[in-house]
Amino acid sequence: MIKKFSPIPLLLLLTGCMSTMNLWEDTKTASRYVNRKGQSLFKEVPDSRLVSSSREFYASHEEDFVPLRDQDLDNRGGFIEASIAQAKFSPGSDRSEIPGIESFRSPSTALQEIFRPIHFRTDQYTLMNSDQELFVQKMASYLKKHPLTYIFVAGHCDERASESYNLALGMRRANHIRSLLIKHGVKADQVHTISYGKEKPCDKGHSHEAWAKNRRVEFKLYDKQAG
Amino acid sequence: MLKFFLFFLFSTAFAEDLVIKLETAQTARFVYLSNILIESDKISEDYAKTLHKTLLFDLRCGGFAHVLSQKEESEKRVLDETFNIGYWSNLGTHYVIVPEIRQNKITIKIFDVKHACIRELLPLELSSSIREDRLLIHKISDLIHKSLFGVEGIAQKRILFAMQPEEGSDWISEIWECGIDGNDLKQISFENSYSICPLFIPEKPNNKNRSDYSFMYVCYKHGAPKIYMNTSLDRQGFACIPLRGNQLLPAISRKFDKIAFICDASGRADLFLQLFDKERGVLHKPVQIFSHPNSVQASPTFSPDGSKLAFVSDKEGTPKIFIVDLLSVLRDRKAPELHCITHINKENTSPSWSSDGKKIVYSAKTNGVRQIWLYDVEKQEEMQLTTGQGDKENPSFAHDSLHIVFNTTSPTFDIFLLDLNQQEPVQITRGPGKKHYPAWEP
Repeated sequence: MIKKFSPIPLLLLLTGCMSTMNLWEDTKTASRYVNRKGQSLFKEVPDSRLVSSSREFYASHEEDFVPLRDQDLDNRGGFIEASIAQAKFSPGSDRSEIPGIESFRSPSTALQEIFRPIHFRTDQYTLMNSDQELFVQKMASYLKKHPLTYIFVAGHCDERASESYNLALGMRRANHIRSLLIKHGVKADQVHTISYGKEKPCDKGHSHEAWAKNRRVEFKLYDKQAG
Repeated sequence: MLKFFLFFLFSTAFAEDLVIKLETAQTARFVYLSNILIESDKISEDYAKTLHKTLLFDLRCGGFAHVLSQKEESEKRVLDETFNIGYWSNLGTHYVIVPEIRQNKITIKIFDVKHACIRELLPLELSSSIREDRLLIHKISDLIHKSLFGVEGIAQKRILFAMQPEEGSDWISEIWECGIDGNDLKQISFENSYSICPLFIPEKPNNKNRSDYSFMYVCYKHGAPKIYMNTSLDRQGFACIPLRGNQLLPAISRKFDKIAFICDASGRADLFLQLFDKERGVLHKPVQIFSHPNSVQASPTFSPDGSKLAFVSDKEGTPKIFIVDLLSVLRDRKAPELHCITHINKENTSPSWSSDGKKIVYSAKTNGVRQIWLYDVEKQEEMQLTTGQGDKENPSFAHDSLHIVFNTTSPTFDIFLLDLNQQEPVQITRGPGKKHYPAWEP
């Protein structure tokens, strides 16, 4: 007798020691990974594909820095977010085809529904829920259809952690969203990041509500076709 | 069990910050500084008072003296006793300092009470430019300091910091310099953008021109923050590290042969190292020193010999400070072993390593308030340096390993000076504007 075995309960057991906040993200990631693997055996899944090696996740960053030889990422499968190197040339730099951030604009009224700010839990840089995942997919879908639209993902933090740590945390938030967009098929050179730490709050209050608003990424767009 | 619990609640409700007084090698001496005696029609009393105020500040903040000074009406009686050994011995005074201005020159007489002798510094010419004469007073302060205590003073050192004006555009911050008393403010970057995290670049040995120096900072002028180099005589700098992504929080080794910084070139907030030459600029490619899949790295600082870095990582959940050996990372090119130095508080940030290698200061959240802490490298102990309300961040050690500057972030963004001998912070900036990320001249 062949027993049907679902890997989901096993995965839940394995993650039993982790905090509640991490549980949803890792379980979802793992089940999606397992599910896609299974699906790919029988049919084509339009939004995902098997990769032949971890190298497909990386840009060729060896060109401009010397990486650590054994990065922790390599053997963790789908549980840990793959790092995706930044675009080689920053907007506005001498060798970039697109101008600097001063030419990027906040999303127009028509696009605000797609490129809405994404908020985070305290000290976290991963998505909070499945709704946010859908927002990212919509953004990715738009950017794939408009390959000449470039985007700056700006990471922000609330006021409570130190200035210097928040600069780095903002960087991490922006990069996480960037990596999700690229995983959904957006070209790596289309997406750039910037960290403002807690230097640019949208709400200067000192309440939990203000802090929740400030823990965010925001988006600015540049349409190369429009100039 | 209930009684124990109630006792615990009672004791924690009234617990004060645990502050440990540092054992310092030098006991502070008592010094009396008289008002400046004027025998000149070229120097007004108000001008002399300004110079006196500068001298008094420098000597008080030097870290080795308790300095007394009388109001004018009491001064006459004191001066009558200037060289009366008995009078001063009874007061416990070790030195009496009497500045005098004759014609356009200032002299300093120092009465050494214990040895009953008088030393006199050679007369120095005043320029009647308050900025220049304040610099002269700083020089005199350091000469006095060296003469009395055998240790180089810090009065001539400058402090760089970032300042965002309160009015006008939100996204403007430039780099400024000031003296240790907060005077002689001068803007030195003109990027018309957001510039933070300034650092002095150590001077060339034969550079005698004080107003010509190089410095480094983070600037957002083209979007993603990059590390820029500039000189005090130029208005705008240039991005000096050709690496993609956001570059933040640089640190320079004391020999200025390495720069450590945080960068997301690989897609994470990683720690990088760039070899550097003062004449030729960057050498070779930056090297990735530390990366972790689920954490954020920040705020590196070099050990004095440049062989180690202390930096912040939250790889264990909350921001802690770790030390990494650079030589082994560069040799083996593997994820390095880290040594955690902060165990008491949960949120530890912005470390700064002293020149003598024995201490690391940092900011840590203590009972809800960010305080300045000190880690003794030899004893491997953490000690709280500051208390009271107002969050304090970004401490930076002076070259003497005794003085620290830091900035508050509440209720105002201002810069404070702290010396480990006296441990009472002195506010050196005031007024509107957000002043932060202070850095000492080496």
